[in-house]
Amino acid sequence: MKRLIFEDVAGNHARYPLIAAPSLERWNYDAFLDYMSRPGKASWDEGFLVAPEDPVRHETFRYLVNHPGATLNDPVRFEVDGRPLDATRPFSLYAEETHIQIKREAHASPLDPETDVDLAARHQQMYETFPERFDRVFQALFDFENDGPTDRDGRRAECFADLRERFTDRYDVPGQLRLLLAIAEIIHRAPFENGSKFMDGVWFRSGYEMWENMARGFGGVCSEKASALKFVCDVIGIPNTPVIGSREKPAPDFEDQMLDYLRDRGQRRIPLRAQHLFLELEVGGRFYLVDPTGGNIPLLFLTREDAEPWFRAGYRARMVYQTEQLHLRRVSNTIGDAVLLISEYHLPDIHFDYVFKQGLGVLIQPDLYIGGFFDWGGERRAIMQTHFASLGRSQRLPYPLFLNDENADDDDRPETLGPVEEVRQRIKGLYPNPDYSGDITLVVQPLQPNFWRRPNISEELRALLG
Amino acid sequence: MPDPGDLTFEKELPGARTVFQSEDLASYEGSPWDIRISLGDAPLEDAFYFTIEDPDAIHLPIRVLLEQHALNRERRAELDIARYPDLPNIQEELVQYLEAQHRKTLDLLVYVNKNPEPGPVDLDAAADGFIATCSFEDGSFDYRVLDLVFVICPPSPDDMDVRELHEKYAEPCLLWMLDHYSNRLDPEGFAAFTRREPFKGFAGGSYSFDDANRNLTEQLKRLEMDDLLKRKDRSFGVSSEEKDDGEPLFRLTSKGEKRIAKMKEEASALRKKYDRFGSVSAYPPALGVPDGFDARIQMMRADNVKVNRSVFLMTFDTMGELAFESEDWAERFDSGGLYTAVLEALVYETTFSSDILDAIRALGDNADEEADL
Repeated sequence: MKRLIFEDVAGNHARYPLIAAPSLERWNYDAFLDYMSRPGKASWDEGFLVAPEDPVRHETFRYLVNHPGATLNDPVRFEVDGRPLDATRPFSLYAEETHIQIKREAHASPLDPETDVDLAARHQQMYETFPERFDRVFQALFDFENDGPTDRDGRRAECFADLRERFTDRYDVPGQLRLLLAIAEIIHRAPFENGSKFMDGVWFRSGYEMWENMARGFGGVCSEKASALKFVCDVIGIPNTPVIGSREKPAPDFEDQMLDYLRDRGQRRIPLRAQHLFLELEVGGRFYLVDPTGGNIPLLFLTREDAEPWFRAGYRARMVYQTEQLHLRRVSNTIGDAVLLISEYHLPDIHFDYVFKQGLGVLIQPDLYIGGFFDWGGERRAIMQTHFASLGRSQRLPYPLFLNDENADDDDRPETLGPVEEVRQRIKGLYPNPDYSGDITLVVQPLQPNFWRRPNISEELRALLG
Repeated sequence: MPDPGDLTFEKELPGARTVFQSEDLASYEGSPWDIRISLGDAPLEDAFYFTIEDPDAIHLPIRVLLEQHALNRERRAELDIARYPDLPNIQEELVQYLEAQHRKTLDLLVYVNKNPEPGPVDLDAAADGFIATCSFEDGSFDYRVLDLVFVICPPSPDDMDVRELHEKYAEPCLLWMLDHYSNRLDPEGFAAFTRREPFKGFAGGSYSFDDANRNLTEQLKRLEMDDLLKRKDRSFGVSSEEKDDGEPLFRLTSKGEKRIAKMKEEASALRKKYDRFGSVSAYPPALGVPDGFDARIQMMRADNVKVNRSVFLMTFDTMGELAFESEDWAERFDSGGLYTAVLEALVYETTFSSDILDAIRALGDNADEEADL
């Protein structure tokens, strides 16, 4: 089979591979656009000789091509070796692999985020494209036998499809809340990790993709987990509002500043950097603040009345070493969606940013943190090793293990670190700066049980949920 | 992690200074004060707070202050959720730890931050002996605080682990202990020592099912079989109650004495070679820095020295007396707890890169050369 590899060189350098039948030698541009207008499965059924390597990932690509404004992008165009593809110049597919660059039309139309951006619609469309597939994924994680809600007619839900049909009418409020808490717990339990980004070449996962990743035993960061919760809420019709957490207090006109920033295609200075993202859900006319982030942050599921002090006083959170105090702010769906879309389509280094700049590392779990640093060797290596060892020592943690090229082949390295070494190699392989001649060191730091663990759930909900 | 009995905490809140039993405590009389609780080595920014309005309550026992005030669910409304909305949830978590301790499903030790006396605090002691002041540099807050640290203890080694530990380390441990007492005590004192309770199972010559120190008895018998220890001659069938004739019920043989002498020589040589790496810095490389990293284990490993055994010998050479002189040494031997300090030292092995290690080693070699000059 031949491969067509589309790379979004004008965006985040994401790659979207298609496979083509060996007999396909030329592909008209209009036929390509026609293909892209159809969901992946449908196009195969309709006799196209091309299929996506990953049908789910392909939908991310299709969304970009067919609804660029909805992804905060200008319309896309394609080039091969610097030559634009259009109706007059088809794809030549003589080689085993053809690389096609995805670029943008120059400011073809103004961006109107408030009109164009609608993740809820995208999530519903995504589910409708893969209903059986998502049902299987969800079934792998959700225990319908014990946690499946019973509707007002006494019928117990047995699969996600059962939930989707008129969810808020068929299930009473306690049943809805029980389901949403169970879903939040699933997301909370999933690893807080960035390793799978490097292994799979997906820098930031959409809400649907997060469910597939969690079903494989992996996870994501706070905004990806919030997106996973949002996906389910959007599909079953639970209204939800994004809540951002930031070290700086948002300005009173933050929303307007953000909209101007978005309309300007990010040319202005971003008005605020958010360190955290989660959701407020509306169930039965009441509101509930839900943080399913995990890592070392307890699950949060609070009524609005219990959550208000958090908005006034701030949110204390410690992932590994230091306690952050974050200002919380409810934002519009446009802003929340935009934060997710920028992460998904516009930031080529977001995975490196999470691991190295934000210090989230490759993995955070209650007994282990795997961080990393760019290792120039010599004195600079010594400085960084001392830095991490000192951070650990502040909490009397065991001395960390540093994994790098120097000890990659050591026989006495524990076998359990094999997958960690694979991730390290992938990080090295993916770092895009060709001039970087140093190494990547991963820091394996065992943690002590000194984090608060109890899920923070409103007492009235505990009583209700049993 | 030090032995729980040796543990102290020196936590500070950024921008503030906490002083244990400060000299001006009297000036705070009549004012409310706080109970602050943090977990282990977690930073104080994560802590739980409860304000006690009654200034005189500092004279109450710590246990009462926890159970009836700070961790009393019925006082939830008194929590300062305007400043720390997570306090109710944290309070509940702490209550559950206390309850688990009462049910003996969890080991929980309570320490006082900045207390110079190591070890957990007696919860029946009055709080006033442990009060500190907490003053913010910007003048925003200045108050008294009972600054508690809850430590959830690691589990004790399970039976299989203890067996393995005894297989490896019982011989040097017991030889060291017996050598320590036979040197420290006069002959009469040593004879009385061998008649103490922990040795009854061994010295009495029978394996009793109610022997509270079965592991100790078993290991002493192994030493005897290896001709390192010899029980007093006795005829078959003698009762376990030996007549106190001033003679010890057992003693080290000459082979045992040679063995312990050799171990001490070995420990001394190890310490001479590696103690210099006990507190180093990686950048810049330096030896003997205050509060540095302990690179001894990594150095030994790099020299292909048997690390576990060496750490054991060095540990007992430096702190053996402290271990053996404690009243519960036999119980700790039996449970494997006596080995905890050794095992935990291994957890803190450094993993410096080879170039750092070489630089540090070179400093050690230079120190040798200077000493020779």
